[in-house]
Amino acid sequence: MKRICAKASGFFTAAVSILLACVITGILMYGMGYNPLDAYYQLFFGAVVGLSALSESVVKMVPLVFTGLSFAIAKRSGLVNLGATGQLYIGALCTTVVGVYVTGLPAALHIPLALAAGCAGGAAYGAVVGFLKNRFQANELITTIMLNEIATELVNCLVDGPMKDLDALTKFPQSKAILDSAVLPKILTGTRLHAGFLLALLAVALYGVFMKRTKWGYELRVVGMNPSAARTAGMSVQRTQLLAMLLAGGFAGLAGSIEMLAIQKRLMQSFAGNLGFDGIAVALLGGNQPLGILLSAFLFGMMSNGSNKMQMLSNVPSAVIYLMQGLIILFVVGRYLYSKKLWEGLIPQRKSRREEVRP
Amino acid sequence: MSIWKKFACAFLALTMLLALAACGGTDEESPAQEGGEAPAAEESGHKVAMILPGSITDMSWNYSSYEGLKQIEATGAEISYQEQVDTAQVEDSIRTYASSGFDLIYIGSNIFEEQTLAVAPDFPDTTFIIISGATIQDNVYSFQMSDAEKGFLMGVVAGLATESNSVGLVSSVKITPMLNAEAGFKYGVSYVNPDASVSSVITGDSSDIAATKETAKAMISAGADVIAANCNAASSGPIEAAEEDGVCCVAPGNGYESIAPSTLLTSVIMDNGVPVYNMYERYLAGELPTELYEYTAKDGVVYMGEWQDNAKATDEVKAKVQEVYEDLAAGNITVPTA
Repeated sequence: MKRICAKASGFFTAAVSILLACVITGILMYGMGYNPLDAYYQLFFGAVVGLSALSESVVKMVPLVFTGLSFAIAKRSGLVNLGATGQLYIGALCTTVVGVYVTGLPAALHIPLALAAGCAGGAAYGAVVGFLKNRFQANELITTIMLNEIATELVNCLVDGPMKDLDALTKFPQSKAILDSAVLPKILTGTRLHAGFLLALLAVALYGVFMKRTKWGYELRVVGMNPSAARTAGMSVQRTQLLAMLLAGGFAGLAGSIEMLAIQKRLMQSFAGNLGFDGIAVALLGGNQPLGILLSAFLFGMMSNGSNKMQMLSNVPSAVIYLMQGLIILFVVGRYLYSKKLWEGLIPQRKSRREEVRP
Repeated sequence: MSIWKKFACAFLALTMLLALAACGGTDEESPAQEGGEAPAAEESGHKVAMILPGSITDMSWNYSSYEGLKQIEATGAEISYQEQVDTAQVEDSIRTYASSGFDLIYIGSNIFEEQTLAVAPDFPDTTFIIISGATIQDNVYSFQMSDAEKGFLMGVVAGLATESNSVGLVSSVKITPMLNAEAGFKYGVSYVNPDASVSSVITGDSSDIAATKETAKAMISAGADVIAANCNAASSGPIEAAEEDGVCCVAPGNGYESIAPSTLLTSVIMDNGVPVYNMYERYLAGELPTELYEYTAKDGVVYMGEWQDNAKATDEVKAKVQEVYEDLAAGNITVPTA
């Protein structure tokens, strides 16, 4: 019962955050001379009504599921992985190398190989963070951010140099297109919905099983909750956190990999936008729980899809949409705003009076 | 507990109030809006959309394209635009516009050319025009603009104004228009000042103002005394750097006077709005070009902005620039491209 209550309150928090952000943005939109009701109508209908709208929301959700899982699994082990962006770029890079330069394979072999390359690349890049932490006590906040820079610049250099497609229509820095045999198949004709969606569901299920049903998952949770207790119980904190970073990197790598094989098909500079950091918001809103991550990733995917429609069809400038997304994240991260402890702290007199009454 | 409840009540009441305020506003506004717009749209019956890679406030590429769209709106067409679209998004954007009844869609840059060609066959009744594109087939049309001439005029100004015989150009992304402008700039400097050396850097990000500013600062400390900026939304970076270090600068569009009131020489404008509107007229007349045409200074697409009060902008320099510009507009100068 208690668990159900906790879950319900989590959903309540998320819902209030979204509502509050929408109301504030609505007022701003009205103040700027736009029609908020029309805009929200476009946002909602553009995101979920109709097969093509819904599938586009799911397409946008897929990479967010993976970057969300990446943040969540590291967080459960007590690490803050801000490096999903870098791991995603390395994953995409490895996938592109396999997808473009390995020729003559049938799709049944080429796709898994390309995915595995992306996953392994991301995992290796994540493991670097774990290694630096274990060996040199390097703070993962700093190493992940720095490794992000290295990964994005590496991709920037490669697509403008050795990997650049010289036969392309434009001189835009981009790699050759992924070969047809490595492209992830669409699962719904007429839309962009691709097999990556099934992989995302699978990943969420695996994450749930790993955390709840395996010894490693149990150790990971214990280490995250209380490293000293874990050490006393004979668990290796270092090894567990390394494993967590390895998996986190693997998830983020897969995000890049799937995005490359199903949507982008060419590696280019800053192709991932904000996917890496949006994953943090997804994990936070989803409370690091499998189902929560799935739902919040869908929400963010829906919002990103719907906000495009909103901008296109009601002419609200994109800045307003970024503002709304920012507000939602702000209210979710600051969800202790709604907990009574914070408010009690703000009004000390009343609190003391109540304490007098109670005993 | 009671306090928490009170807060919850107050909070909910506030939320409702705000929601009501938001609703109330729209009720007043929407009839007026519909009344104003609907007949106009009926008059021409055309719905025109534009998909832009950057922000419409960048005071150069996207801004002037959007100005062209607004000109189209003034004739009674219904318009819509989407800004800051990336390559992963553009296919969905095109589909959304095309399936929402837009019959003419401008694609804001040739970086979207491949995606446009992939989607266009699905919407045979929609016309696509790629700004600075290279393809004309079926329902897809393109036109080019002479970025090289824009760069050339910037180079002419820089080459005449420099005293240290060292000038710098900061560009933002390695795409065809920027590379052509770079080639034109180098030619422009050597055209008026064969002794001057050019340092040119492409930062790789058209919104990273800090990067373009640092690049310009490095050029200045290496001896450049005129800085030209051609970096779309990040163009204010080099101009700020020039103002701070007291060297002259050339801007890629209007609106930079306030950033560098004491060091801005002038700006060179490439007005995407002119060909955008011109193509719309040709679309209405059913005469869209079947061969790729490049709009140049001759067509009034590339021209000089206003000169600012600046000691380096002597009458001699102004006269020389005017002379070169007239030569260019008359078609006497061929500017090389990248």
